[in-house]
Amino acid sequence: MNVIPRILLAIPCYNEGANISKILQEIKEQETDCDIIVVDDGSSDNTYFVASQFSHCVKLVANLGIGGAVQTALKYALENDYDLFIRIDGDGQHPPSQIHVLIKSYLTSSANLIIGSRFLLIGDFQSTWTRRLGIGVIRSAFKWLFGRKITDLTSGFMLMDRKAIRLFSAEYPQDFPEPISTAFALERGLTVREVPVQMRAREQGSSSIRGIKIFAYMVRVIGYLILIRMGRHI
Amino acid sequence: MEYHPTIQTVIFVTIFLIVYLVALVKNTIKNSIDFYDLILLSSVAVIPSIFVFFPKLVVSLARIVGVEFPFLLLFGSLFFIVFVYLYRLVIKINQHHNRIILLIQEFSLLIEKLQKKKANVPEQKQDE
Repeated sequence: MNVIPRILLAIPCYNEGANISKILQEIKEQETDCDIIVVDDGSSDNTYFVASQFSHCVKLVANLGIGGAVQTALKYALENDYDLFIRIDGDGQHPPSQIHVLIKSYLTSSANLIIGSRFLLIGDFQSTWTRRLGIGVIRSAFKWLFGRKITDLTSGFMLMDRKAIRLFSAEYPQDFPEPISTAFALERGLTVREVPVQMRAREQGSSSIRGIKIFAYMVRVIGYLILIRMGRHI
Repeated sequence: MEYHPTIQTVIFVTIFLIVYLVALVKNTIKNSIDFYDLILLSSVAVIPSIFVFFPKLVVSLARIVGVEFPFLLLFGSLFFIVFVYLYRLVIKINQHHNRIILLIQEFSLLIEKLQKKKANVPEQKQDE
């Protein structure tokens, strides 16, 4: 007998009052059997008010950053005994129509962590040369350190099973959570897989990592990756 | 190599030692600083006073360590204390940072749980 897994769809967001209703509306239209939780990361706009009209919403009393917000949702998933946890971003980059791709992929061949990758089908994306260089260097460093090629290390669109929920609700990286959590999962013996998904361009605002910040991001991420890899030998 | 502190230096260091240690002890009693911090911070006054009250001991120590001037030993030990103190501070700050994150998360989840419970109460009453 196949038991239908209980799925929690978590949307961490900060000042996404303009986008969040649209995303939640789109999710409803998908008619997925997921419970939704919006984690408002201490927004100063009406994000909480808008989101709570559509779904459960946790408002963090202070801004913790994306890592802290995702970990809150993971704790909620663990406390409420969910089988699967799917994270999508509140800025509209992850189309809700792609949620079923992750679920289908898990049901076909399970893994502890499934990452939705923008680059599996189309290769590299069009962006500034600094951004492409940064991503390329991090990807190469990751492959060298962990022996795995992960094409989209900065993707926040992911699915986690119970084992990953348990691990990450206790310990989730606060800085650069996407690449570091992937490294952390591999280091702890979790199975990690990528599936191709379509993503959209950001609807409002722009990435906080641009210009010279990309190099700082690259150096710090690689530093963390080396530390995680070294952790095995210390 | 001879080195004799002047009477002015002895008086100045003694006054500093007493005033500083009294202030530290008072703060420790008030729980503003812990005992380990008291030891580390008091060394800022205790180390120079050793140099003033026991000059021969310091000259011998400098010879053992291999430094030419005793004051190099003084600054070296003070730098070491400052680094140990900084190291402890960094660890403490990070521990507090992690505790704050945990508290914010647990507190926010608790609020959500209470709100959910509150919203369910009227429904349950109607059912009854």
